[in-house]
Amino acid sequence: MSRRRTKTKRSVRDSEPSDQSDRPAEVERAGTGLGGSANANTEPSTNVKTWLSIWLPFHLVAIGVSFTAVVEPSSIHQRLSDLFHPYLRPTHFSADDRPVYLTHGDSDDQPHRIEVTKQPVSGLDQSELVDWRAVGPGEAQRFASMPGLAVSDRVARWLATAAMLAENDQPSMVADLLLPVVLKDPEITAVRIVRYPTDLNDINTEITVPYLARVLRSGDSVWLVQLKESRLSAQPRLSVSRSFPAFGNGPLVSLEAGVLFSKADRQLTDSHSGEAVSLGLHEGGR
Amino acid sequence: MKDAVKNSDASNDQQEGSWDWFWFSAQEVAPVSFIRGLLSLISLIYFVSAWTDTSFWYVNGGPLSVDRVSEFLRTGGLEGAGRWIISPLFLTESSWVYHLYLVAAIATSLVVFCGRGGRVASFLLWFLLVGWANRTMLLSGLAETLLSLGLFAAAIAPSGRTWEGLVAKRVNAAEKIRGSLARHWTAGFAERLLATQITVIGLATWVTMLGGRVWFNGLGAYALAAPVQDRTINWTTSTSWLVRTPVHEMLTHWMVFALPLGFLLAWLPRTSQVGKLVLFGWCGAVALLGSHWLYAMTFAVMVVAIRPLSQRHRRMDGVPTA
Repeated sequence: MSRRRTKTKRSVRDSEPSDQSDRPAEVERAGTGLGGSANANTEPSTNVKTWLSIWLPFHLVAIGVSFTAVVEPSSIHQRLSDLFHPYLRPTHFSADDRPVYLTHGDSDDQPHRIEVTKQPVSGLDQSELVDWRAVGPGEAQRFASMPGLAVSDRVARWLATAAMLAENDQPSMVADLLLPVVLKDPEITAVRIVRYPTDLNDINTEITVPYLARVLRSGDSVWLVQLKESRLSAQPRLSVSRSFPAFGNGPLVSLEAGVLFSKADRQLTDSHSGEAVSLGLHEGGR
Repeated sequence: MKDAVKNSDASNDQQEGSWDWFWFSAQEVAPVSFIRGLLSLISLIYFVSAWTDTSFWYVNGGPLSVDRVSEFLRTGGLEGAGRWIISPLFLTESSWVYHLYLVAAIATSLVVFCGRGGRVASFLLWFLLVGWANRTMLLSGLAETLLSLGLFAAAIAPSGRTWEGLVAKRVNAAEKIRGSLARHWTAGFAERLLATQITVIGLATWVTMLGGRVWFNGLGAYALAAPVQDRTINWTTSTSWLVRTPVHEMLTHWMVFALPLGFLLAWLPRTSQVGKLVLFGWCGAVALLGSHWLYAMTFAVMVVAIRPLSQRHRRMDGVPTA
């Protein structure tokens, strides 16, 4: 036992000289490069200190502003956040409205899937009667496609964004995101995004469809025609700005996403306009 | 003579400002090498994970192909917002270029993990990650942002092997004091930057969490696990502990308190290890409940960089003066 201890000690000691001979040389080289002073290893030159002392508060304030601007920022907070974009975005230091808070238990956090069908679809109610098939990289039967891993995360963000845009009456932007899936198979007649309820939803909440579109084809051109549930066209008096992931409150914020009010809207609704309301044509070339 | 030198050093130390001491004092290179190595390992996992679905997103008119992205931005009037999102990958849609980029990124991650290539390799890895994350645009999550901040800060320090820090622990304290280990002011600066950044991010996370009622009404932990179709582990089965009200409520309240408390304790001299353990526990909860694996790992690795403020009374060469 004691022999083993002695051996270990010796081996550590034996390894030290070579380690020491390697490290200082490497560090010295690196230090001369950044420090610019004779005593580069222990402290930087005054110039370097000054510049770093200016950069540090700027950098830390920029990060703080960006990470706290994800929950309904004030106009001042938003303007400040926009001011830092030229620094934060090229370096990918920006939080850019990503869910820093992990979860607020809202609809964005619910699981979304993209589904297609080859059967004819004429309206929202009738769409429940056809067979839908989930597509996308998250559906591949591979280890990487397991829920919670990176591929699944990317699909979740993609579809949550598309669902959010659909609920904000931006069918053209949704079509931009979903058309590539439709273009891959000429037999697809309709596409939809489904949102699964979680245990936090009301017990009567079922799978909802934030986006449903019929596919129209003519030669090489493809259109997505969104089919919406009937509702009143009245707008809520108040609206809540919903920022768009990855772009901050840019021009898109004027979308005035009424997500929080959509349920209230529906309560006011009267089905005066029939079942299938076509909104937003979007063309995509093959 | 020795006393005179000691007194002189002590007075120099007093003259040195707190700011300079905090940011610019020399520290061992090994701990930062360890952190950088772990960050490069996480980057490696990230790049490998991107391999399988690259062809779907970026190539041949995929949802994020260059044409689609331009049209998407034009449709939404977002051309201005997209101006600062820069990546060399916007120049091409060739599948082989994207895969070559990933190969280069994976290779660079390995090189950095092994402590080769100096700062050039470290900054190259950061550049490759930023290029990929910016190209990913709306699909990139918080893990990429944390990784970018972490890799950038760690790249400032001189390079070293990841396991150097572990080996260094075996060297006894006396040898450390004699300054036998490699030290550099950029290592101290990088370590402080990592620690300060993660503290700012942690506190911002806490503040934004408070913006949601689930973190008050006791459902926060459950809300993290609730979207079971998107989670690796299903914690919401009827036999799971999490479905019991006292369990998920206590876990929620603990997660809310753990962040500020953990950071406070981690920066204090006597409780630093306890604070870090609290923060590691928080990261574990986020990873297990929310399946935010890469985010939680990156967060935890950056927490390692927190060095308690007790070392204020150390001279720049590591000899305690108090």
